[in-house]
This record gives sequence, C-alpha cells and structure tokens, in this order.
Amino acid sequence: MRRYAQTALLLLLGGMLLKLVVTNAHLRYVRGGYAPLLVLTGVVLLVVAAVTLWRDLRTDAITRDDDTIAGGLKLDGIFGVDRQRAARAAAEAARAAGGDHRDRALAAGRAAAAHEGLGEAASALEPAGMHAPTTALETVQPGGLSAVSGAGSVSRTPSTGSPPAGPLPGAIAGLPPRRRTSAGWALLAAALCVLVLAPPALGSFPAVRAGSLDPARSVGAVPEGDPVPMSLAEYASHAAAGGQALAGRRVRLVGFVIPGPRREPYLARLVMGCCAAGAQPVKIGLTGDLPGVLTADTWVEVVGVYTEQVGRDPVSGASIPYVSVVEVTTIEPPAQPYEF
Amino acid sequence: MVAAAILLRGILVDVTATAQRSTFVTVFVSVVVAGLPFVVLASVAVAAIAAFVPRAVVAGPPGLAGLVRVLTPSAGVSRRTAVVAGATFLLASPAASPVVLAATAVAFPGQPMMVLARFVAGVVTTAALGGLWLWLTARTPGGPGAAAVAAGGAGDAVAAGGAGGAVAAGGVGSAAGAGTGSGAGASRGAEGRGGWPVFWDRCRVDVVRAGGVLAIGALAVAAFTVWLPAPWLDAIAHSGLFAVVAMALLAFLLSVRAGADAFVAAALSRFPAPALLAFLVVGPAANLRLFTRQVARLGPGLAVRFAPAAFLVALVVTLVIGWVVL
Repeated sequence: MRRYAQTALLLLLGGMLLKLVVTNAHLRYVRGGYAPLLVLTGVVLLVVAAVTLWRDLRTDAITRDDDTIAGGLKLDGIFGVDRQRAARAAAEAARAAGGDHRDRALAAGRAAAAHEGLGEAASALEPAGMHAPTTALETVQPGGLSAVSGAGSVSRTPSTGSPPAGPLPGAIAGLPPRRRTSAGWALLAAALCVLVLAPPALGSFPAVRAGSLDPARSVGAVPEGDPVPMSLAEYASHAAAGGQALAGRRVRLVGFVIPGPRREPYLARLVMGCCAAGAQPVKIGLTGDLPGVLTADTWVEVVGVYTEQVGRDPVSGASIPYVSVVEVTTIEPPAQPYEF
Repeated sequence: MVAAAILLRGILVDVTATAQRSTFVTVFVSVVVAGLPFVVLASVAVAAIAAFVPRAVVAGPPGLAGLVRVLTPSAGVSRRTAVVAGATFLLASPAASPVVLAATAVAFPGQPMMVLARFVAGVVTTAALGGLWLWLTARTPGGPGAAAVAAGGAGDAVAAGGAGGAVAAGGVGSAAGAGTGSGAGASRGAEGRGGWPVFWDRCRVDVVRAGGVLAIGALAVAAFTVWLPAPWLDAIAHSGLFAVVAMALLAFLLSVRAGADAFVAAALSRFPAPALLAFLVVGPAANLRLFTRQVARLGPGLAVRFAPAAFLVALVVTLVIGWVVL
C-alpha cells in the first residue's frame, strides 16, 4: 500500500469512527462505553493523516521550486508520487555521497522514476560506487521523508544534506525486511463496509446457530413494577433458580423472534461481551396466547408470566425456560440491540 | 464518482442481502472497531518511543539478559542495572505492556483472571524464551543479528513496528546485540531517533500494518462464525486439550499483534478460557510474521529450531498457568 493510500485510509478510518459515534451506530458493534475511546481514536487518526498530508504537500511545494533536481520528472497520478519521492531521494543520495555530480544524480533519479521497481534506483547508483540508503528505496520507512526534505533544502544550502551513514545494506542484497503494508487493504475493506453498508446489528442468524448462554448462578431481587421490565438473561436466571421470585408477577421482555427446533417461535436476545462478534444468545420459549404469525427477526415486546415449561436448545441441549404470553406487541428495534 | 458509489452500494447490498452474509460483515466490522483503538494507542506509543526516547534509555543495558538475570537465582554483578533493564524490556513486551493488558481487560469484561493469567503466562514465557535464546546463541557464537531477533523472538513488542519495531527488535534487541553490529541493527541505528518526522511516519505505517492484520484476523473470525458448521465449532470448542492446541495454531497463523489479538480471541467466545489464553500467550511468542522475520535475519536453520520451541514453551506455560489461575 502506497504512502498516499495509507494517508487516505487513515482519513477514512478516523471519519468512520467519528461517524459511528455521532450516529450512535457504534452500539451495533461494541459496548456503549466505547464511545469516548472511539472518538479519541478517530481524532488521533485524523491528526496523523492531516499532518502527513501537510508534510507531503509542503515537501512537494519545496521540491517543485527546485527544478535542477526534480525538473525533468512529472507527477503521474497521485499513487505515482512514491516513485517521484524515491527518485528525489536517490538523487539526494547521489549528491550527498558524490558531491555535485548533477548529471549522475539526474540519471539516478530518472532511472528510479522510469522503472517501477525501486531496486532499479540502487543499480543505477551502484556503478558510481555508492550504496543507496535503504530509506530511499523503501518509501514506507520512517527515514524516507527526511531524506526527501533534505533533497529539497540541499539545493539551497548544499551543506545541510545528511550523508548516508556508511555502507548500508542495499535493496539488492536483500537484507532489510520489507515493511509490508498490503494488509492495509483488509482494513480499507472494513472502513468501506461501515461507510457504504452500515451493517445492521446481529440478529436471528447467529442466535439460531449458537447454544443459549448459561444462566447466571446468582439472581437479584425482582424489582418493583407491573409488568416488571426484565432482561432475557435475568429471566433465564430466575427461571433456572426455580422461578419462585417470579410467582404471581407479570414480566415484560424485549427481544427478537427466532424459529425454534419445530419452527415454534422463541424470543431471543444476544448478550455482548466486548463486541458483537462474541455475542451469545439467550433464548426464551413462548407459549400461551400467541399471534398467528411471528416472523424471524421481528422485534417484539412480550408481557407474560412465568411457567414451569422448559424446552431443549437444539444446538447445545441446554434447557430453555418458557414464558406464558399474555400480550405481544411488535416494536421498532431498540437503540441498544444487545444485553450485557 | 457518486454514481459509482451508488452502483457499488447496490452491488454490495445485494451481495450482503442474506442473513448469513450480513452476519459476516457485522462480525468483521465489530472486531475491527473494537480492536482499532488499541492498535492506534499501541502504534502511537511505539512511534513515540522510536522517535523521542534516547536509545540508551530504551535499550541501555541488554534488556533480555537483564530480565533473565533478575528471574534466575544466579544474579549477576550489577543487579540493579539488571532490574532496570529487565523491567524496561518487560514493559515493552506483550506480557506486561499496559496497552496490551488494558486491551485484554476491555476484551474480556468481568474476567479479571484472564488479564492476570495473560500477564503471568506472558512474563514466564518471555523469561523462558529469553533463557532459551541466550543459551542457543551462546552455543552458536556469532549468529548474525542474533540479539536483534532475540527480542522479537522472545516477545513481540507492543505492536512491534514490524521489522524495526522500535522497542522489540530495534530498541531492546539491537542493544542487546550492540556488540555484534549486525547489518540489520546498523540500518536501524541510522534511522534511530528522528524526532517528529519519524513519529508521524511510524504512526501511519504501524496503524496500517497492525490494523490490517487485525482486519485479516477479523475476517477469519467472521468466516468461522458464519460458515463453519456450528456442530463442528462446538465439537472443537469442547474437545479439551485439542481446543487449546487449535487456538494456539490459529494464533500462530493469524499473527495478530498483541493487544488487538484479545478482541479476536474474545470473538471466539464458544471456546473455553484456557484455549483463549493459549491464543493470547502463544500468538506473541510464536507466529508466522515473526517466523518469516527470523528466517530473513537468522537463516532458516536457527529459525526452524527456535519457532517450534517458542510455540511449545508458550503452550506448556499456558496449560500450567491456565490450570492454576483460570
């Protein structure tokens, strides 16, 4: 991945994170408490990208004035700039090592610009008995840009050019490991997925595939209210503890519908650890007064009472508690789709 | 441009229309979003060390040797120096790096024992590998760039900035091998402390690299979640020792940076805790990325001996610590 593509990627990622928090869409993927961390990360990414852009533009502006070195070279599209940069760095290397051999520097620069492979620049320098610094050949290495800034300033004050520090391993010798950034494309895919697709919160597909979460061993007191709003995980824990605390109480459960083993409707909700990826479902069976059709992935609010009926999870074989339904209302998906 | 975006969106929406594919995308994105803050934090930290902290402070006395001397009864002459060096090295390694431990705590909410287990297992593994490395290099004198890789081998630093991971391979490592003056060490010495230009460049490249590897790990997790038949996944997850070995192998292959790896592990929540611990401990000690680096620096001979040893050491340490702590 080239330098400008990297900068663009950072801009995109920073924007993506900020957009997620601003639109509250981050709740589909991570815990709500993540928001400050995402904002901080987004800002840092944007700052790094902005500074990189600013430094690149400044360097290019300086070098454009300097037509003795870079004059013969033309920018060939934004992603070709690296080659230009390498050419200039190569020219600088030639300059620093061989004094004011402008012709040689130009030749090296042209060679680097003409050939796609940066190694060519090194071979162009080789006959002159010079070693191209790795920094000039590997544009993603940190030293790369300093060498380029040097190329800009050296034509004005020739003494400030930084000479390469001794014979460094050249690209041809193959010693320096390449700093591969091709994995960055996968990161770009993630950013594009968020920005273009805005993938929804997880729903019935992973819930059907995974076994119901083991209920918590300790249960708190059932709060006041009629019906009592309760998370599915809490209901499952109370049911696993025998259901005494639920006797005579109406509960209100919110979740989405998934098909059970015999196509009967289950109520489900995903319990999130750190992010949506590890979320595990809690499933509650529905019995009693049910509407004729409940389609999968519909969000519903169920008011019902505890029943001793239990089912078997088709995936894990764990027991699934049931609720005897008094009333079912179809609702909009909640802003917070997960339980914790 | 806009038309292309709309067209692209149309195609993508069609492609992801099924519940299966939409789940894939959501899982993929969620791991990246959860892990990215820690990738960026670690990259900024590494970049700052690379750019501003004088080499002498980072790498002063041989950190690895110092660590080993602290942890072994036969303490050397200058114990205090050894302690400083050892502590510095340890802080930079994934075992005790604050960023990595914080990431683990966030990735496993409500499971502080996971953080503790990772810390202990990581320190023990680092020390054991350090000892193994010093022993190996003592037997094969003049191993090229030996010490530089020692740090990389014993512990991949806080999101070690790839080849020159300032702290891991570059800082501590080349200092430990300062005497050898190996080629790789020299090139890194040249780019050593470079102030702001180095800082910004390193930030950018590290985020792209480490974030990219995280994204690949996220893709793998999404594929497992969606396409691996659920009974298979459960069979592996409940297979005891095999689950641990499988996760260790997965960690070796995926080579996700320490810190971000916690989120990949957390996404495989069906696996038991010891298996997840194996992912977190083996990954930084032995992985494909590290292995190719070792082959490049040391030659295949030494690398082929060291990487499996590192893998086994980390695995055994995981099993013991996992049994005791988790």
